[in-house]
Amino acid sequence: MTQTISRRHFMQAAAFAGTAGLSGVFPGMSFAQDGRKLTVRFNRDFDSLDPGFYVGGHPNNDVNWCCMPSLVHYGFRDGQATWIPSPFVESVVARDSTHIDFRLKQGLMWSNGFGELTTDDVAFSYERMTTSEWKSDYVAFDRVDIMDRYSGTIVLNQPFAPFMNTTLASGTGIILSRKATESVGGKFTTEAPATCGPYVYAWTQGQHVKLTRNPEWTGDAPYFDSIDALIVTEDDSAALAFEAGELDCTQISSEALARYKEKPPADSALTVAGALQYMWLGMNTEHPKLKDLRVRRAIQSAVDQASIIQGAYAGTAEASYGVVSPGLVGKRDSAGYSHDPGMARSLIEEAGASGLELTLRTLNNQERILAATIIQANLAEIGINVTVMPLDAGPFWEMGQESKGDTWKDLEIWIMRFGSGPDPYEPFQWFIRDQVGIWNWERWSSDEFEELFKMGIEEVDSNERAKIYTRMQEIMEETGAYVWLTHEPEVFIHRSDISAKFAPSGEMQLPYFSRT
Amino acid sequence: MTMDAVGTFRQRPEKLALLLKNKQGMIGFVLVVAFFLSALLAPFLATHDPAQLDIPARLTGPGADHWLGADQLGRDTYSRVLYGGRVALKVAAIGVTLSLVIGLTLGMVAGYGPRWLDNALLLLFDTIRSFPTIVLALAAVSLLGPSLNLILSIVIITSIPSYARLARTSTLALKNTEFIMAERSLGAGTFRILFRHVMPNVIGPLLILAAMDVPVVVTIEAGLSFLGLGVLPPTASWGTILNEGYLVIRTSPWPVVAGGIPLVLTTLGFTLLGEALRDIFDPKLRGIR
Amino acid sequence: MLIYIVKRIGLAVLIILLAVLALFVMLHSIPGDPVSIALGPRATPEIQAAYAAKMNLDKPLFTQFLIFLGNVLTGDLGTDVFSNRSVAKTLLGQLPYTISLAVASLGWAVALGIPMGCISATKPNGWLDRITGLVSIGTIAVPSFLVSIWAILVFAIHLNIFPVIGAGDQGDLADMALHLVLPSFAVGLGWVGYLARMVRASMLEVMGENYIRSARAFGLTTQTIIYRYALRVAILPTITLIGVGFGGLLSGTVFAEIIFARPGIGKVIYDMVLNRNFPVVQGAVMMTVALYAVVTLASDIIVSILDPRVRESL
Repeated sequence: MTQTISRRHFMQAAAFAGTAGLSGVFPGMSFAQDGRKLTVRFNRDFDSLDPGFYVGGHPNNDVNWCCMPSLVHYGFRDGQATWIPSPFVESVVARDSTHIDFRLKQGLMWSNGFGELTTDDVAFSYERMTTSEWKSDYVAFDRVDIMDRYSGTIVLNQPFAPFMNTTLASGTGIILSRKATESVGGKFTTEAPATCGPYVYAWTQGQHVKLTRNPEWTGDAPYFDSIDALIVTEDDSAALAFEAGELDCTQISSEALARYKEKPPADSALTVAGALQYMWLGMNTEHPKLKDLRVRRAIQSAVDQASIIQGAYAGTAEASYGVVSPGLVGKRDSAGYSHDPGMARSLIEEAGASGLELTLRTLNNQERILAATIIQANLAEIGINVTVMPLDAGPFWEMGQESKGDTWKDLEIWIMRFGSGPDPYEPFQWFIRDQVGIWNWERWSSDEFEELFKMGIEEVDSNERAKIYTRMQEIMEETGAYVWLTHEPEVFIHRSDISAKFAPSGEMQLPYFSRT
Repeated sequence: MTMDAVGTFRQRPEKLALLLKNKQGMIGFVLVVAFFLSALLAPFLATHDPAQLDIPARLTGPGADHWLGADQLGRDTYSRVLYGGRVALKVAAIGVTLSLVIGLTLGMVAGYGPRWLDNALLLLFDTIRSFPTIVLALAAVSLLGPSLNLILSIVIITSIPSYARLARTSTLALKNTEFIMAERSLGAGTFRILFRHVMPNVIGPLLILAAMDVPVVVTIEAGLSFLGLGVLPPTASWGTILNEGYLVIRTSPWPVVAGGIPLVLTTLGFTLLGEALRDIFDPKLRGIR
Repeated sequence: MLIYIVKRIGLAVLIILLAVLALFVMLHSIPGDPVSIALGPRATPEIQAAYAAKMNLDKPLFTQFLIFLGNVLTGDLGTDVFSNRSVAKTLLGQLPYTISLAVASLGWAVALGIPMGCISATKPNGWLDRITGLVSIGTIAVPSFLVSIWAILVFAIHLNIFPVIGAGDQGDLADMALHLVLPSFAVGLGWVGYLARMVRASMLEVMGENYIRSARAFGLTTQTIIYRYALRVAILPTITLIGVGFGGLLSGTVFAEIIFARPGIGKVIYDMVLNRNFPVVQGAVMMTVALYAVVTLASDIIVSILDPRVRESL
């Protein structure tokens, strides 16, 4: 396991390297004081705490990390996000590449009288995940060997580099109470049958989630007595509210970021939680209008990435050249095509596709609409007439899925953005052959890609992984079905006296927040 | 009221002179004419192609090149406002005309037809009116997706009842007048009576209502486009200018101001003109809105 | 009188029934599987099966409608597919916010509109009358969502004196009231002009009546009369306005709730439209229709009691 880790690389090496003295401790109450209140913002409404069947991400994870146990959390070592043992455990040690030993703290009680948190709950939760909607996070999981009531060993069926950072530390590593979950029939959404964590929550739909200290909690105490998370969907309203002093911490739009970089509001600080998102213009390789590789190549050369970054993201997003995000192994520094409308035009003429009419589907938010408008203008220059079709979240996320209707057949081009955990394995899983019609909406497959994907899972040397993942991105690009657009950073603004902690995927780790 | 209407519309010249003397009416008239002209002549008045991107010029304030500044894609706000007027004009013209025609027809049928039909239609109108327009529009968009045609349909459906009710009342009053009775006894068909004799006497108040309805229609389109549920890019509408401007409201207030002012002037113009016309031609219409 | 009220209530019930029918027809006239349309595509097969069973989709359409209607009338507005919560419960939790916003907006209209109407009526066609007339028209012409945006621009961004998001801290009445100021102003402003004009008109009408003339004969000045009778005279137009304008008011609250990120029925509808959560949208539409019907009903009945002339029109 010899590897060079650049400053910005997330330390997936740490997955098996043990923990070297760093572990999660909530900031605690050094002295009793009333009224430690924090007001933060959720970008959208909370919809489920169930890690097996939730939509994932923010704000569900934010709430989960306040109210539910997990073995590891995200921490920062030398400024880099890596997993750390959570305050729920005595220890977590990766013994070798397929065995992780853990020991839970004693006396952590589930609410509603469901007893103590035990190894059995851990085993139950992870096994349950293997048949859930998030089972892809658990491909390498084999079983939990139970030693006693508090200790056990997680056994993997193959070395799986991302397991700690993208599975256990992420929202899908949340532990449920076996008894409580079974008592409600095995699934739940916003009303968890039992919680166990530093906070308890109360949710008012569409309005806020209120977190208050859990009186039954015996572990480390978090700093804030109560946290009010207001649900504010509009970035601009949230930025305004921050400036007006109504919020202590909020994620901000790229437009606001550009403004704050120039002129930050008083007593505030910006924190980049991560840029683990990749956005691209996707093309359906099976669609009659796009079957010709030359047409797809032409579109790749026609789209002006720099204009999109400037125009739609106020210059704050990073240029993307693949699905691996900045700071991760395998991130590319350039694409195999460049912005060249002249070449694009001649490719279109060659393919006899002048006057082509395409429908560009995008999520209905302002930045995406701006990006779509730019693409529309770019393609008009090469004689492709684009109609922009803005869609709301529901229909948008279903349009390429064969199980959700017939839209996938009419799908032509679209702007897509995925988020990922801090490991390059994660993005590629969505583009393999099995994913055609699920998340591989571009509908292509390649034997070499499949082969490399398997190699990447088992490979632990980061130089080798970098080669594998670079090649995989080249294969994707050569299909012509991808125009790489941006890596949007997740940036938060908060009061400068607040120490804010974020997961690299952009959720707030609220129990770790404190005021200095 | 209708007998008045029948009478008054026979004395147009004097009434028009009155309109010329009515200050508010004249202001309204000028604004309305300006709205029509700027929308129709947009291609000549605009300084830029409204969809032309110019990223380096993004969010510049008003100046020699961009009279009202440029938006976040560097598009010229002045030109976009002009072209936005065309969308407003289109929605207003089609929306108001169709709802007037349908409302007029249904209203005359209700007023002239048998009692049961009258009751059924009245009930239909009341039912439609019980849906708040924006709420109905949101529900429809959630099922069918956003488009200008959908906005138009919603506008038409929700405006029909007020035209129809007005036409019905006037028709009821005419129904038993001697002149219609005389026509009927001469053997004129229902169709002929309605369209040759009833319509000319009923349509006047409806035209005034139409003028006053334009602001409502224009506002619905702008509102839905502001919510991102209206016209599609790159079409400029006052609502989308406001929507995009709201995103950069802290960096540059120009787009929200520039997108809002023409909207206000247009609604103001039609309201002033409509009210002046009403006061002159048909003062008793006052209760209708 | 009683006959009018009974007739009016019957009409309201009939309208609600028809509105429910219209929604039902809308849902069933869209091509595709009604279950997927009603629940949105993200519903799991179990939820779809449960819904299909509950709605008796195998039965004839008319039976389905009766069942649908039965559910609605017993307060069962369906189940939110995502949270598995009762739609009615969700909406009832939001209703107080919308109602308080509507009432506060009305407060603005009354606070500004009645004095304006009185001022105009004191000297009809005087310069004050002309100014208030122009202001009235101005307030009518500016769309409420534009007032919201501009109010944010001026009061929240440049002056920074009012909170801009949310409904305030629950339980902290002062805070909640402060959060109501801007949104209710935006919604209420459009009514100021209408109310001022109606008050002016009624006032001028009243001035010509006998008891006012005798009051004048006793030496009371016009001003005194106007302010003494102002409230009494203003009640009728205000109530009439609530009846006529409530639909517009609801539309106004939708925008204000979205722009000011306030909880409420309008915000729920908008959010659920974006998430394509049709059961909630449908429930919310039915609730607004019912709300509208009840408010216009109440307003019509009160007006008919206060002003007997109205009764003849039904």
